[in-house]
Amino acid sequence: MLDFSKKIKDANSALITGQLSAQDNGFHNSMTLFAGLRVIFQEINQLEDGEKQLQRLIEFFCLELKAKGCLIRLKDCTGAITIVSAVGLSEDEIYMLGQKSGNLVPLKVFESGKVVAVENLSLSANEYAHKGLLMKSMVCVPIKSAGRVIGTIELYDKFNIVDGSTTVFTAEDGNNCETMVIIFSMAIERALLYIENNKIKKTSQRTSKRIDIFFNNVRSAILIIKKDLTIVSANKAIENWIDINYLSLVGKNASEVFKEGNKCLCPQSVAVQTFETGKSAINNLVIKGRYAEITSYPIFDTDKAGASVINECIVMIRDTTDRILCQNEVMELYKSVTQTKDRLESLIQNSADAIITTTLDGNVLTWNKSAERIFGFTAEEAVSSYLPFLPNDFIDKHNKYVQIIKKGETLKEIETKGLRKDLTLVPMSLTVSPITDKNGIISSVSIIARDISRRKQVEDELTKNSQRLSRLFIIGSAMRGTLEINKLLRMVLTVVTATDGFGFNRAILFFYDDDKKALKGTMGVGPASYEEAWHMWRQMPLPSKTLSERIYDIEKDITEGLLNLDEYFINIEIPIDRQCYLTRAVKDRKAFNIKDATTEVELEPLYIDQLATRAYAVVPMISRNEVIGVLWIDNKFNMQPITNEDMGYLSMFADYVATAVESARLFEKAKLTEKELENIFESINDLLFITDNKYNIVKINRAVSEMLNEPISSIIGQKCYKVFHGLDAPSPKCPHFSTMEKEKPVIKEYEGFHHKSNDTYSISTSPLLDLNGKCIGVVHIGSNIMELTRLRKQLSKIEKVAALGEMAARLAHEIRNPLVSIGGFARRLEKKLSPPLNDYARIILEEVFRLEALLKQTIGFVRETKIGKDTVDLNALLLSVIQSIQHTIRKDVSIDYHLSTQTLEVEGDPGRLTDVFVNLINNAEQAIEGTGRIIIRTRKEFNHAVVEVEDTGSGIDEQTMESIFEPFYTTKTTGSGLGLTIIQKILEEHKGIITVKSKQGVGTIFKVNLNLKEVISQ
Amino acid sequence: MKVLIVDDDPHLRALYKEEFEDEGYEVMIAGSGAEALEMFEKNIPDVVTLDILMPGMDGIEVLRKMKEKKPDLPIIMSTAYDYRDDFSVWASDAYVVKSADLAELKSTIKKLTAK
Repeated sequence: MLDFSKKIKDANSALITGQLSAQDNGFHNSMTLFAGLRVIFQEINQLEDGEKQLQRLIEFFCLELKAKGCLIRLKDCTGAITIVSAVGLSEDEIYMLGQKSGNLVPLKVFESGKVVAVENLSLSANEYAHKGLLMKSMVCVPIKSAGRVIGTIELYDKFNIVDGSTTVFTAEDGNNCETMVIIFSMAIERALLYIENNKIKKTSQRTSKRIDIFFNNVRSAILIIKKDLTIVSANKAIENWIDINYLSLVGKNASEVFKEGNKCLCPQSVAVQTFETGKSAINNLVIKGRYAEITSYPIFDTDKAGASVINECIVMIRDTTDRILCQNEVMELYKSVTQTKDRLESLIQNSADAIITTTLDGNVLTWNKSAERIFGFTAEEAVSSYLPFLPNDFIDKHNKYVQIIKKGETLKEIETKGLRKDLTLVPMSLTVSPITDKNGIISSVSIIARDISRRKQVEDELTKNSQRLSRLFIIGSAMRGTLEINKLLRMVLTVVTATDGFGFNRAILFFYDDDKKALKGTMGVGPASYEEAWHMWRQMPLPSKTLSERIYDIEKDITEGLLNLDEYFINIEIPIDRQCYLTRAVKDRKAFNIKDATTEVELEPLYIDQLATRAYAVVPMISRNEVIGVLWIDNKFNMQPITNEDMGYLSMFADYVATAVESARLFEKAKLTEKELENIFESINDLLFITDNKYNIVKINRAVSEMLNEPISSIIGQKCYKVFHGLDAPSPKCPHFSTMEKEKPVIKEYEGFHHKSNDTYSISTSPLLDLNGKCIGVVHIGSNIMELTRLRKQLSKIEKVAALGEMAARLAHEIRNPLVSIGGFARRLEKKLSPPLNDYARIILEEVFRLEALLKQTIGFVRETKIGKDTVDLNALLLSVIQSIQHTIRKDVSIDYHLSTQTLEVEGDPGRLTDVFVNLINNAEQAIEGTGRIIIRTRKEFNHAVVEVEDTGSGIDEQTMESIFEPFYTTKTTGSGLGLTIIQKILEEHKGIITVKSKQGVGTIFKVNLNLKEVISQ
Repeated sequence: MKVLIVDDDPHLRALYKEEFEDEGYEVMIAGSGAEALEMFEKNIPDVVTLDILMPGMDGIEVLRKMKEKKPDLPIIMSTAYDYRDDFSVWASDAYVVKSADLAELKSTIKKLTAK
């Protein structure tokens, strides 16, 4: 507690101090009291602040009633009791006394309206002491106004004015205090009024300030307009709409400031409405792209008579551009969202897939049209029932799926089967995904079910096709391995007709023969009639072997009783220019599938009569762009239609077959060629052998085997250098060696090629190159040229001799000339000289003769008989002449010959006689101008052989006839003119004659007569 | 009777000239084919003896040229070597191998000029 007594002493006037001193005896002196009261009232009245007045009042109370502390509590209009003023108490004490525990006594006073004096607080209310308040006694007096307790005044701890010690308040003190309160109640009330006024003033100031701020800062323009449309007030925001300072608007008439009009800002028109109706009015308009909302609010006032009138109104102009734009935007957004939603819905409804949503428990929420279509349940039937399309055995699985879905995962494309309403199953692909609500919680499930029956079908189809293809492939590889054409064709037909192949009933292969321009039936399989078909299928109810096994059997020549159509069709020939599908397949290079042969114009009796078929197909077989044949097939017996797919496969197969057949044919040709080569190889007399690139003998011919005198088999595989040269390594002497080194052909004469013989061989070695040009071996051709060598040696000897002869002839010439001179002159000398000198000359002459004789003898240059003495068969000779000359004769000249049946043998030189007849025939040809004939005849006339050479030429005139045998006479521009002269000479030497008969324009006959041999010998 | 002797050997020409003049012939001699043909043009002989092997134009060519001009003129081939294998000499009328004994040549000339 503050030391208030001291403060009072210092602060208060002497007057009060004087009074206090006079109070020692209580209120004995009323004059003094009143004077004191007057002073204090005046003092309080001077204070304008109500709170300060209260303060001064309780200070006075403390002083007068000798309390250490005093406070005043007031109840406000809400009923709350607050401490308004205090003196002589610390802030802590004031706080404590303001709390619940501190106002127990005052509350009692508020209730009772009576004074309470407490002598010892610690006895009555523990809290006071407990709270650390040291106050011991108190007085609480109610402040009453109009019979109501509006507050209390409390005094704490009375002090002894003499020693300052604390004493207790008594009931008397309470009464005194009450009396003082009554006295001062007016002052208290006034102070309270002051306080209240102050409060209201402050509030109103604040409010008006706030309104001003609001008024001037609000974005909307605000006008206050009087009934006469005078503007009372305007805020700054009006400048957003009108180009006038807002302050200058005040006092102006709105109708003057704002123009009336549709697109104009016109606040007065709204205001007028409000004034008329007494209600707020609103108007929206667009000004220069900005939206404005103009609202007027009436301001109600009261007239003198107390009736409600409107003298002013507030007009508010709000810029709603942003709001409207925003609104528009929202509208657009809404529209597009709606559209998207619609689309999505329609998408879901029209999707080819069934789109279903369910709860997590599997109850259907939505069910689209495709779901209806696929599963047969209508939406009404499906919605809110448990997944109707789920087959029973799938429910467990689905529950598992739901567990996964609940974890937020999506299951994609699960292939399963769905149950239709009609209890059939449909293959489907499911995609199950969770649907989350806006809070991200998985609330439902979406199921997209796709009907995959079509896909399944396609897949099955594909599988089937791939099986078919792989079968084709197997067959193809089997066919590739078969190069025998008959086997191949049988395979082809087996494939076409086998149940596990193409499965056609019958098949025939026709091949195109380009020479005959016709299709030729080559092979056919299948039953010819129903009887046969029945028989066949009864015999073989099930195919005992698979196609590949049968193909294998054919390859291995294990044939099986196939029914052949061969007898009907083999060798049938269909000319290519006959109109039918078989020939068209060749010409058009197209396959035809004839569904009904009886309605086709291009009928072919073949099909109807022999095959008795209605539907068939023909497929061309094309290899290297050439149609090599046609494959004919039908399904007569099982009536299976031939599909386009079949046709596709057949075409593919036919091309395959064509290629295989072509290669088989090539192979046969190659085989033939090989055989021919083999024959040549074998029959050739020269040594022929082939070695590989390691000198091993790979192939030899018979000649080699004969030369080595060993069988072929024991030679093959040996090293060639071992076999031929008896060496252990290749010999650099051998051309083989060079060929291996240089990979080039080498020819060499090799003496002692075979080590067991000295014979010389001409060895030719050529490298054998593979396709990449790599040397893989060597081909050897060897011929024994021993005979040749011998002949060559002889020839060279002859040549030497001939050269010698030539030299001798020259020498003879050179010697003979001087010998003739020596001899000739010696003879002359012999004649002219007399003995003994003439003897000398004769000796010279004799010696010359001897030399000449020697010359003649040694060189033998003068042949006694120059004509050969051979026996010549004239007929044979003429035949060979005709034969050899025939090709040199002009084409428009023919040679006829009529040779005698008798042998005509003459003695003579066949070469010379040949010359005679060649010359005669040549002359005859030349005598013919243009076309003509040469006729040769032989006959026997008496003891002569007669040869006539007749021509149908121009003939020889008489004058020419005389000189034709003269040397160098010729009528031709070319030729020596010696022809007939020479003929005559030769015939003279053969003791024969030549005569000529000619008629101009008819021809000429040369007739040769020769003596027959018998005649000569006789 | 004129004899034309054609030979490239001057000694032989001298021998033949003396021998045939002794026989009573008028003898013309030529040392080469060309010379022989020149003479033949100017003064046609009654008989000709022709050596075959001569430098330049040989006897066979001379024979051909003379026969072309005068097919009837007898021509004797007189040579040191036997050329009768050669067809071309067959056009001549006779063939005499040279010899120191001129009897054959003389008789051949006599026979041919007698025709």
